[in-house]
Amino acid sequence: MEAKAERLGLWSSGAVVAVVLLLGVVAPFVAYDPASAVDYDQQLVGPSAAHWFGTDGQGRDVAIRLLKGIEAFFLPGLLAGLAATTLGALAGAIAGYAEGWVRSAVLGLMQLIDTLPRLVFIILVCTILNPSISLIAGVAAVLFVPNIATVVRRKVEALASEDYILAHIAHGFRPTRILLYHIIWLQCRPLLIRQATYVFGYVLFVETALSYLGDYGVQEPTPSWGNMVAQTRELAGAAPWPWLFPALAIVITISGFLAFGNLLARREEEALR
Amino acid sequence: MTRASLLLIAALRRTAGGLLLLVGASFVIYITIRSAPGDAIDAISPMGTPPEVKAKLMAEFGLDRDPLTGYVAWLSRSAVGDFGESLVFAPGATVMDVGLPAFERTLALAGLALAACLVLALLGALLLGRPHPRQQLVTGPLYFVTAAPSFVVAVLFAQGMNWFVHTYVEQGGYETPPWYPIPIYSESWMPYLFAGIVLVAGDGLFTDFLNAVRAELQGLRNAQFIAAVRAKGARTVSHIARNMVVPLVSGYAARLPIVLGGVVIVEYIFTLDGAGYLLLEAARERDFPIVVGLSVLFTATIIVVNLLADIVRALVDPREVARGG
Amino acid sequence: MMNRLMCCLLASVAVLTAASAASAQTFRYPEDTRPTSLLPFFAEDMSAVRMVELIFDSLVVINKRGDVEGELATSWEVDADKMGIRFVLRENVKWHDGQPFSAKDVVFTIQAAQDRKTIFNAKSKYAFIRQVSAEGDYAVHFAFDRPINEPERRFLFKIIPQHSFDGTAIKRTDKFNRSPIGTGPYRVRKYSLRSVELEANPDYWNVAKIPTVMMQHTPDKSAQVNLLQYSGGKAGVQAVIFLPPKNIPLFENSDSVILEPYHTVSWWYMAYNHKNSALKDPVVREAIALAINREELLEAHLGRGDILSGPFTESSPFYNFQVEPRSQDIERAKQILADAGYKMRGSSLRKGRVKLDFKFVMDKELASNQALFLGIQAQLKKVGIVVRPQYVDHARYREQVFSSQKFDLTLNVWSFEEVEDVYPLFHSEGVINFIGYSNPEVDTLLATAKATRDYKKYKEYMKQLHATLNKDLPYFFLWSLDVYSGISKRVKNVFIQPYYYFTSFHAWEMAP
Repeated sequence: MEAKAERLGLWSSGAVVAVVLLLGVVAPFVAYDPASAVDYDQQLVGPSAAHWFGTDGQGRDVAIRLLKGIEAFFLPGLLAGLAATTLGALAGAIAGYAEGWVRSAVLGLMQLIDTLPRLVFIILVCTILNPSISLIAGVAAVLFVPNIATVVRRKVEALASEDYILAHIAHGFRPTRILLYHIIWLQCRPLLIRQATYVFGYVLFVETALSYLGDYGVQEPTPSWGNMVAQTRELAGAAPWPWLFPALAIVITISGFLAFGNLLARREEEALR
Repeated sequence: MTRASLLLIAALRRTAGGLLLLVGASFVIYITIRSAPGDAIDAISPMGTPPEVKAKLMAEFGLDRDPLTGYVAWLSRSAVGDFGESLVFAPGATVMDVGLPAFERTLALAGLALAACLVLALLGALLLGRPHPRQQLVTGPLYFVTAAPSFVVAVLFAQGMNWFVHTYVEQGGYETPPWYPIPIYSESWMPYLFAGIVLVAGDGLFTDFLNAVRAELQGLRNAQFIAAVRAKGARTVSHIARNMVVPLVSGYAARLPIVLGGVVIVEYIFTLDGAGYLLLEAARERDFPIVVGLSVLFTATIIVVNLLADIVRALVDPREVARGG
Repeated sequence: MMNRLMCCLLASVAVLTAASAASAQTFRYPEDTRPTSLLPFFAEDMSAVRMVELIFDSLVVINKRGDVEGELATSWEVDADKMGIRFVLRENVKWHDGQPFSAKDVVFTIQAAQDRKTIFNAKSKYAFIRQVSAEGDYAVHFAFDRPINEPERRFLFKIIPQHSFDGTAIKRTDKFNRSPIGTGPYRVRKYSLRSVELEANPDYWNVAKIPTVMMQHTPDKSAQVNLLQYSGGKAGVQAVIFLPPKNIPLFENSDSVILEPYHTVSWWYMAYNHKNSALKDPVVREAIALAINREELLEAHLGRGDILSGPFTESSPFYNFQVEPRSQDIERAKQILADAGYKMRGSSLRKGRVKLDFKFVMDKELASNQALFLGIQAQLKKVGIVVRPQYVDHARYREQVFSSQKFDLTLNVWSFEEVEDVYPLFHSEGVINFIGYSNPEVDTLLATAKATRDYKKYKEYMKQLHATLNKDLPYFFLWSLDVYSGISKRVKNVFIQPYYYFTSFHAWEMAP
């Protein structure tokens, strides 16, 4: 029964992830010119056959902007997830394996980054520098490194004295190989998956939040879910569709990715045991 | 050495480490802000101000120094509690005068929301009791729903409220109904309450806590020493409670930064006058003493809370001290 | 169970709210931006200008009928040669801190404004005064550098107390910025993070009828509108200064709110950076102007207004009605660009190395910018001109556009206190000529107009200037808006002063 419920969760969240990934891959091939989408004769038309999700205050089709909006966070989110896990794993491995001042330096740096209040710092950087999605993704990736590094380091330290690792050492495997393959790839994978999906969801979250706070996210006319939700500031309840659909998309995507990462990681952890 | 002296040494070491971290973090923040294009002078000086006048204003505001020297000066002043004066937001007021009350409100909101979340999660965990397969049908969807970012929850909430307003006014009402959450009053409790609810409900905070508490409880119930206590015929409640303190405190400390970030956004949506509002306004106006001061306050809070959590852990669990943290 | 708990919680909070909100007779209004300073010199944003109006008095004000009326001055007399004026001051006026007001405060205000170390925007407003001298406690004489017609109209600036300052060099970081002391109808009771609370000044020489005024910074326009809909309630607001045009229909037949026009002498423009090699070409400027449909943009985003052909509003004495505003003509725009040798290559038109691909910088503070840009971008695309947006916050905008001039196009508004003085905008040495515009014909015209003492001739020069600028297009002049305030019907005797807004607020009344 438990396994059944878990499988159901894994499948449903997996479906969300699959749909987002699919759309993310497809979106760049859909032709859309934000500069000529404005149509003042079609302002705030409700959902219909011609406009599935209606049109916004500029007469632009919400559905296609929703699709193209994936493009805004898709690649940066993936790259941020990848960068954070790679850097985190590396830093963790170094801190766990190295000794002396290298270890202290890495640990100190990790601790320093970890102390910065994450969202506050991102907001600060984005309000002050030229806002862009790559900036958000970059800063988010760096800020997540310590989290990942800590878990990896603990794992490395714990495993270093395990018999089979010692056996590998005795066999004459090179330490980097043991570290990267046997420890990180084989043992830390579930954890890295969880963290990567988390970072991906976080980039989406920060972009939308910053767009709402004052257009610090992706800039119009390029569509993003964040700047679509931000339209609420002007619409004031006049028509819900321009912001309701992107808001729902955000909720579904973020929770889907988080749940998928968690469940997948849990399954892998069980398999490891 | 006695346990007390060990504890003291550990605490002192931790405090020193925390201070060092604070210095490092403030350096990162200060340099980031000073490297921004456009400064307070641009925000206030009239168009067509001659360069020499601007230079004078720069000197008056202490912006003429290069960031590094500026940071050293800032550090030496802030070490004695003087974070400088606001430049644009509240010209002439000290950063502490403006920032501290705002920060207190924000901290209270975040702290209380997180505490409420903790209590609710504990209650929920006790109520649900031992994990039962069928519960997943409840907790699964719950997870899905509460993983929504708090700011989306707040937006949906505010827009729903707008809709209520329109219907209410169309029916002829124009007296503020008591349920309206965004009054112009700063004294009102309403927006804080709603912001708190949003914070608890959003960001996956509640389910995250709930899952953690449940796993912890389950682990304790199955632990050998509890079995031993039970075998002796003694009550297990006090033992379980004592052993729950550490994970709860750690969980609280670990989640506070997340909630502090969430508060900044939620404050904006509910028009609260906390540190989030102040930070955004000051950053917009390039009032960098306030921005730096507030960011350092945020960072300091995180460090202090972690320090306190360490101390609590050490008090409850002597092994922590021996481990040296 | 959970539901019931929530209801109980809400109910108890509601009681709390009602109890704390018992203070009746408070006039509340939201502002889009925070007043940066309540010291009159530094009150540079409109929310500060409006609030200063409640706290301070000037020597004279312009009343409803457009006539000059004494405020701190009771009477005045212009010198025979028009080279000076003598004001007789009101006696027994007290500052908010109880000190008596006298002629030395007036002298101090001028000296402070003219002190080189006091740095503020409107310094030139005081430049015509050559000398100021107190004649006893209750009379002041001003001497000018040249003869001036109706000089009393220039004395609308606020008077500040000498005893609150150490010297005439006034700093922006003075505490006075937050705890101002004036002679006006209201004094500051509480200055907090995002709100300012004022109470009626009991010693006011006139009578302030509404006991408490409260301003709260509420950047969200939709929240402002919601609060106005509850104008009758305890937490609602009694006025929204600028009602967004989209929300005007909401109040057109309202029982509780009336729409009051708020006249501002201000016009919108799209500025061309004349240092850009493409925009230096008048043909390109003309083509851009022809490509844009202003009526459509105005209707879609801003509501009602007048389409302009020059740097004045239609109510201005200088507006030249003989100059017709351009209408959109995409074919013609394409034609003149083709004639000038611009050819489509890639995504935009080009001539040699000159590419019609521009950076369009916008200030986030101007809320409608984003929507307007989208329309402009779509329209320009039709003639083959590409514009790329950059939205920046206020500080950055000022730095980038006004100081370092890193922009090609920008959209903005100029507001003027009374009549438009466009010399600083378009003279090649004008202090706010940030577009790098230089046209000898315009320079001569502006210089001769400035030198003239004859108002009629001045008017003629301005009309001539209007025609020249319309042809040469240093800016593309867009429109001026009909702006409405929404005011609760409980508030009586309302008169909104053009630009300053609250000048006659002491006479406003509020029904319980």
